[in-house]
Amino acid sequence: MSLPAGFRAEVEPIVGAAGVVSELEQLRTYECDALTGHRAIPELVLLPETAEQVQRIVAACHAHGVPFVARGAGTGLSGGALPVAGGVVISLTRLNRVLEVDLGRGIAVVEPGVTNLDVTRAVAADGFFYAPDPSSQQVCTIGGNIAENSGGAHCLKYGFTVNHVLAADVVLPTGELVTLSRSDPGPDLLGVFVGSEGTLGIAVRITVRIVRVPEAVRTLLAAFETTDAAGDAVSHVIAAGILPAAIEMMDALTLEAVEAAVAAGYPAGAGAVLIVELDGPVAQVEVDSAAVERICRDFGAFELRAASDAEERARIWRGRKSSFAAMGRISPSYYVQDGVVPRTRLPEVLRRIYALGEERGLRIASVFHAGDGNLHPLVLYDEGLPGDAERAEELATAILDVCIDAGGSLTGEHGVGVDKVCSMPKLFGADDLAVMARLRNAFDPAGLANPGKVLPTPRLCGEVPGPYRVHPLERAGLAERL
Amino acid sequence: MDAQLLRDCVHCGFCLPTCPTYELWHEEMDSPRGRIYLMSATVDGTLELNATVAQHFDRCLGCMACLTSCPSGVQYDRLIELARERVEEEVRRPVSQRALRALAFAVLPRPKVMRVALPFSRLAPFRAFRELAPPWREPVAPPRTTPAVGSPRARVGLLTGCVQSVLFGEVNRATARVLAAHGYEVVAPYDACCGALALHAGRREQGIAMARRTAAAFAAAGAETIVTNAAGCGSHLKDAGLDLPVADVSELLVDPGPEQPVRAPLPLRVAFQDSCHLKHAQRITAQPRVLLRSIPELELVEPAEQELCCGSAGIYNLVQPDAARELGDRKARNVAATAPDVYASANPGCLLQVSAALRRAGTPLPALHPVELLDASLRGGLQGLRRRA
Amino acid sequence: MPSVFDPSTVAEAAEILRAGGRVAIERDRDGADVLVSTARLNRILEHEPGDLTVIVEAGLRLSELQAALEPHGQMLALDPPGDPTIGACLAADLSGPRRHRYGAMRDLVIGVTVVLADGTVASSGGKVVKNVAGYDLGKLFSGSRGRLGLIARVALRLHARPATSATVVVEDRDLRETWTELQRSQLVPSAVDLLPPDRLALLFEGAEAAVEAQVAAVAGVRPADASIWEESAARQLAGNAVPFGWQPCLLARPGAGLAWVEESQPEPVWPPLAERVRAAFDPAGVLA
Repeated sequence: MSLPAGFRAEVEPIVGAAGVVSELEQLRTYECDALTGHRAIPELVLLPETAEQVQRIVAACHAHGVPFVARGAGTGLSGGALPVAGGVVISLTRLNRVLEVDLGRGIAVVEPGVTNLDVTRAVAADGFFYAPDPSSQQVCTIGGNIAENSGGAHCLKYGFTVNHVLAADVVLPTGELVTLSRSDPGPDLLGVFVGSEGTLGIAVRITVRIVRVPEAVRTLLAAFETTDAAGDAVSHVIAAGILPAAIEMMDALTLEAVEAAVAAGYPAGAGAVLIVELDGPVAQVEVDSAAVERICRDFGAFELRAASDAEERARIWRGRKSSFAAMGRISPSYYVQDGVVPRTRLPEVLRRIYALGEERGLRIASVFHAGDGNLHPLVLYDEGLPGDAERAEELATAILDVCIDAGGSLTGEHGVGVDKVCSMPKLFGADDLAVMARLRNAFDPAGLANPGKVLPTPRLCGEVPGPYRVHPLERAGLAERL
Repeated sequence: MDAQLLRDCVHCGFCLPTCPTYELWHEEMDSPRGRIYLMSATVDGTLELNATVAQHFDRCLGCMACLTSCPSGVQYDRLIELARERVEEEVRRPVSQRALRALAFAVLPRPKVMRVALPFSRLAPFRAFRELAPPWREPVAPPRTTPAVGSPRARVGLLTGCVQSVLFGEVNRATARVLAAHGYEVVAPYDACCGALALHAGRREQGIAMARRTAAAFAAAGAETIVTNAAGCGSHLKDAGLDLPVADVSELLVDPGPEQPVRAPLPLRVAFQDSCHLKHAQRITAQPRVLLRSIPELELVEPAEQELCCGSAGIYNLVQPDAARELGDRKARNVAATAPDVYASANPGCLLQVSAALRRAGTPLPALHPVELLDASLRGGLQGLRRRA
Repeated sequence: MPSVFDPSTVAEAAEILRAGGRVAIERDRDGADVLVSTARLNRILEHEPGDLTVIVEAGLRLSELQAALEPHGQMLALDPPGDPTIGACLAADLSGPRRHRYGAMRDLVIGVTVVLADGTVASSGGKVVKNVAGYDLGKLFSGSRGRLGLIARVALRLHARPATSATVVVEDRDLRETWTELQRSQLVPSAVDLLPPDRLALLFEGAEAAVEAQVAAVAGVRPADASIWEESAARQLAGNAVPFGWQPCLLARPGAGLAWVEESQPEPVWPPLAERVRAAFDPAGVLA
């Protein structure tokens, strides 16, 4: 595969020689994101430094019919930044400036290559923060967060990226530059763009909402004997009408990995650990945390700790936030799954998942955003053993089927990317996918923006893309497929 | 390269924001994750270790900040060392690079040669040498033996080093005095290079051999511990698997022992910069600060971006001058922004690099080792201090 | 005069749209042959209190939904004026003072089933709060005013009813100053409403102690709670909402018996990209 004649000559002057990566050895380092099982070498990697350069590059891609994939820090877990053979990668990492901060209006204007944590850093001294906090926040970029509609532990209370993006200048796949705003008349195109996984264009300038740091924060760590007990505690917290800022759960295997990695000091011998964080006005936090502590004890928490200062709070979170990468300490390889189920079905789903793991002889470590039913089962395997990687992938798919069966979804926050694209028909019927395709085509008639992601095609997934599964709502007679 | 070690990396990318070359260029190839990926590809044979690949290994500063940030425990220090060895063996560098390296290794690890060459630094064929050469030199040495004050706790051997002994000889003398004041008998029997520069540049055999000769000399002089006051040297000797224990001077001094010598006030605002080979490689961060804070009236300030290397990195600032200059300028800006009276660091490379950058920026500052400040305090006050800038 | 149809199932609605002609949804338009009403598409399909989610048909009135949720101590955190249907709330982006804290309808919708002009039925989202599978048609249909298709079913995220609430009114000649100070404070009002020319109303909700503490932190006059918010919700606005900071402080539109709201202003013009999407969804211009 190679690029059309004249394309390189057109794009190279836009970014200069220092903005073009073209040696094979260097291109290889861009062949995947954090989902390393899928790799493809791009023809070129371009590193623009301004919004205008991005627009001109995309316009050139459109003129020459060259597919493109936008890339931030490459930490995505669904292969969203997987290059397209015969296409280019447009790296946004050099558009990394915080352009404006307006505390009075509660906004910041940033370029897409700014890391998530750097947004908070820009406003922290003034007592503000940027709320969506994926675990990779010190490295993942706002552009990537927008592509995946990233959540993070605190999205239970604060919402997702889509709730915090107020406007964006977007380069459409046609090369046009449009400004999408929450206050635009008509359909919420900005809301559609966030979470569209790089298939509808590239955001080059983003206005985000920044939030005042709450008056009080209380971080509780509770150790339980079993995930069931911890899950029950979570249900009762929610049923009591409490909305914590975050509720995270880690199982025993995860705790083992995390202790080996960062020695966060989690209680030894726990079958499950809950991190519950409450924030808000002082009096509200006091009422809520007393209730949470009581509920945890009622459900058998054998150790209950509250962080006494910012450092301890950071230490409690550090373990949770490095839990994926920490798996490297207890297993040579692992496969992260991202499933989401209605929270009330969590205990049952967990049991089924562990049973599946035992059945197939592979260990599963689980980390969850227990508050919203988003679970990350990590299937541990050894890619050095022949066949292990395939078995792990099969198990991960089986786990996904359990989630969908329980009324959940394919992905809570990692995105469909290339990882789940062929499973989309398990969740959506042909008409659903056709309408989504109409939407995508309205933005990208030439099909150049991150092709092969999100929506399945016969070429990608085979003519009959997977067995059709009856949706629980259909079974209940409450929905029809036409 | 070690396939097992390489598999520890799960490609999570947490190392990227801590990597100075990623901070500069935002390219995957010049990040720890990208370098590891290249190493893996040369191991599995899908890529050849050629000049393009070697360039990205050469551009690594070896600052080890990624070591601190990696949640998977990847031993990047070992990986880059192995990679550099392979590059030395297998890749032919361009002529100018070879000349530059030859010159660096001819001069820096040999104090006698350096002393002679230094006055001619302005004529050096490479700009980096010219820029870094400081306006001072201190080719003085501590006595061969410095007796302990009071009954001696132990006999320690002070590594006087190569670059240190020519440009920062006063630091060595101050170190001997301070250790003695805290009850140590100090011997300084050895005036050759410990091999750090060689090993960190990929010349492993040479580096290890020099480390062993160093240890032998100290053992022969009856030293129980080798004490270093240069972060890079201490890190290298600790890793070299020697029979003698090695300690940084700050590690020894935080345990004051029975004699707590009186400290006179030093009313100075001191910006202390962490050295990578103390902070990341040896995990020593608290001790130098404890020592500085033990000096009455001394105000310790922290420049921003402590985790970001200043660009000195052994001979890096000679062989990768553009990247080093950008990083040096950035570190100098961070230091100057704290409005200090003094810039302090525990490594001669950092002191040279950052003071050159401060001079370039028009904001020169006295550049001192923390042990010199302690020494001045023990000797009654400011009057004893050097004013390098 | 258009023929009025009121389907009671999604399949029936699809039939009607597929049959052709010029269709108006819920509100008569010039030149419409067919008027589709969602009055009989008004069931609560599934309410899972433990998950704080509910799935309803779009013709359900907001008041009926709130009444069904109240015994569980839950609510849809949306307080537009009048008693619009759920579908209207989404299609017309209706909201009230509590938008300040809880967001607009688009922020509360987690799944949607729509019927397009050619009778195609499509769904996106689901019934879980956290979901990034596929494109979000719920966002697309927010503010679409019946021009992209008929909204048939909506899955919603719910909130717990707060334990108590109280209102404070601040009088100040320079309300922008007050607003700026409010932004910098750590008060968490559920609603902030501008009562021109010089009054700002703040609604606090939550545990009793928390509400009392926040009210005490604000200096001002405290009138009876209900009337202020009824006034705000019912207030007629000439023109658009007053932009104040990034969120319009007050979004009051007049309510009526119909699902649709009588507008005193002309239909807003959609940006070109939105028109392109509309053309993709309704190439024949059935709903135009």
